[in-house]
Amino acid sequence: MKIYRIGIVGTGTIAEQVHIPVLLNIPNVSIEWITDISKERAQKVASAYRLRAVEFRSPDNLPECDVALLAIPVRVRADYYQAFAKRDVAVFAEKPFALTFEDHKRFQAMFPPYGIGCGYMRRMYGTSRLLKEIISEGWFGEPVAIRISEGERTTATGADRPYMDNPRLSGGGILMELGCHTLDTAFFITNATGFEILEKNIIMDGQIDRKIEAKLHILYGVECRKCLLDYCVSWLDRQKNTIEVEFPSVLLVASISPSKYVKVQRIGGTGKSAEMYLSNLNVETSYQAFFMEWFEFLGGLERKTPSVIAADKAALTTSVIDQLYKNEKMK
Amino acid sequence: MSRIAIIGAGGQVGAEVTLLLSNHSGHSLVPVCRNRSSSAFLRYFGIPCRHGLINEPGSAYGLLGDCDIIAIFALSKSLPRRARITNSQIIENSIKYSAEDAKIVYFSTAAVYGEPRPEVFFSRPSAYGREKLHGERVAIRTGRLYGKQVFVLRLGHVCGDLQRITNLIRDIIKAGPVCMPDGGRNLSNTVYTATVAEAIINIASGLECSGVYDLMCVPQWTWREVYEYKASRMGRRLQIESIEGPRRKRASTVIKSLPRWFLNGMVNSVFFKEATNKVLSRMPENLNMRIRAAYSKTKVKAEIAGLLSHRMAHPALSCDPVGNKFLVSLSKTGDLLNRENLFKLPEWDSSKVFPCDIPNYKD
Repeated sequence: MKIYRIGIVGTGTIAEQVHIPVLLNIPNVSIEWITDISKERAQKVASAYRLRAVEFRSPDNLPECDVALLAIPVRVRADYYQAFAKRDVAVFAEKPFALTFEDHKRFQAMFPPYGIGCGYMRRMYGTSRLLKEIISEGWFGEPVAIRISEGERTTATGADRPYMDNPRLSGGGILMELGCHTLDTAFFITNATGFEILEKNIIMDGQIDRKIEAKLHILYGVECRKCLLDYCVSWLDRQKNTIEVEFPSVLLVASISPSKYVKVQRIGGTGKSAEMYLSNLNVETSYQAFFMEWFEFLGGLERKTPSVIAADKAALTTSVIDQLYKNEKMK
Repeated sequence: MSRIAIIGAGGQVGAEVTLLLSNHSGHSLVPVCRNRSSSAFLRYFGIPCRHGLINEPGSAYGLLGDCDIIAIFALSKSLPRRARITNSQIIENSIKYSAEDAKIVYFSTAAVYGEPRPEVFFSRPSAYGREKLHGERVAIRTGRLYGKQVFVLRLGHVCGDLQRITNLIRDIIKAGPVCMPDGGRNLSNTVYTATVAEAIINIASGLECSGVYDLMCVPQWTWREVYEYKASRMGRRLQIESIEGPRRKRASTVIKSLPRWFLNGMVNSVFFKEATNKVLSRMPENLNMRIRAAYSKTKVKAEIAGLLSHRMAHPALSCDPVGNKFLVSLSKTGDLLNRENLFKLPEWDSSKVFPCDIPNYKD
């Protein structure tokens, strides 16, 4: 069994509290080194997990590894993509993959299709897989509309200076940080091939977007069918936090949190509903979702075939974010 | 010609062994069942039976008095105390009221060894294993008292066309790739009913000496071989997914696993977690981070295990092999299973259903 050596760039919360414990539980993986712009932070995390911390250096001088996890702000990744591509190191990038569609394609092209992945782990959720199955197999016919509503009033952030408040690092606000997940899920479950933005309304806080409402057409299928996406993500007020998929006579409702259950109810019925779920490999927690995305990515590397989280499959997500931000005062 | 009594012929193993023995003409068969409901399946297949309660002296003599091989499969499963008394009575009466030179074959179980597994430090027999162990002692003691030869055969997992474990294996094979620790190289502790039937025949033929034996496949089959055999019977190719087997626990690992016990407590118990948080609030930050790291790893491990539970191997596949004393006259199990007719279940014949009962013995 091949043991994949992982190097981790960026030891922020997502790496420290999620990626590292998940990777330490995967048998054919070995974390070779970790590094962070804050030496102290890297050393604390290394000490907590008994890993090797290396000094933060230019990407060309980082130690050997088979796969590099990029858990650093999106704006500072370009050099890393180039350096790792030159060294034939596969890259698993935390979402979002890139700021613009152009950058996305440029970075993606540096790697073989199976050698570059983007961590949209919500694709692994039991609900996402089931909705995808339902739509692609036409269980209830063609979807009429998808409604996504995500978010909550921001309260405590748990950080002194969250990088999200720094547009030079984050590249955006809620859309880049959070909304990208549900947009990606909408594209994933429909197997989308394109989109058309019909209308949008973005509430800006200086250069950071705090709430976005948009209506899009998702294009899918060989005949380029259209499905309306009614989308809202907000850090300013409470949202329903659901994904609803409407069919001619049935409404499916799934939580945006990890779950395996999809609620089914008849449109115009008595309001009674049933729940359904796929019968095996149901991801119901975040840790399970992260585990599955690593499992899929490493499996793709092994087989030399693009996995479900190959960067190419996230290109549409980057493109729609790029388009939604166009003309807003932050680029 | 030997007259073989099968006590508990209506049970899962007893019924299949009875059907296999009915193919052999070198002896006569006396399946003994408690009542007509439990014997219905055998009688439907044309096997005449005797009915009665062995644990009652008055009926035991009539059921066994003319039998010179007594194969005891029966096990009472009522309340523990009642079961203990009944099981002892069955064994004692089988020995006391059988023919003068009768050989007693008491079918015990490999469960008397507990369920030794690499990851278990101490293995003790289950209630079933302890009951059978008690039965062994009763059989040996009573055999000595009445001067009869007693053969104790400890059965492994019994496989056969009518056995639950074989149905389970069939369902597992049908469901897709079979997860097997170490590719299924572990010895399986299985025995096929064909081997059980042959053991009885050979004991009846005087080919074995009395004693306590382990009855397993000859030679012991690995789990891979067991599944491959079943798959071939199903006309399927077996797909195996080899997974890492459990690591052997040593005293040092038991001690080292105490922190894991503590972390599992944190993952699973709110009280534990709250108490730990209270202590940690007074501890240095790097210790806080260490504990959080260990907690995260433990929680991830538990959640991944939950996700992959369908990909876990059946627990029996990682048991250690047991058994160290075997009968000497048995054929290779593979050869036995391939012998046409002799060790296969008989075809159902509508002209033979529900025959008359075998008359009880009268001196």
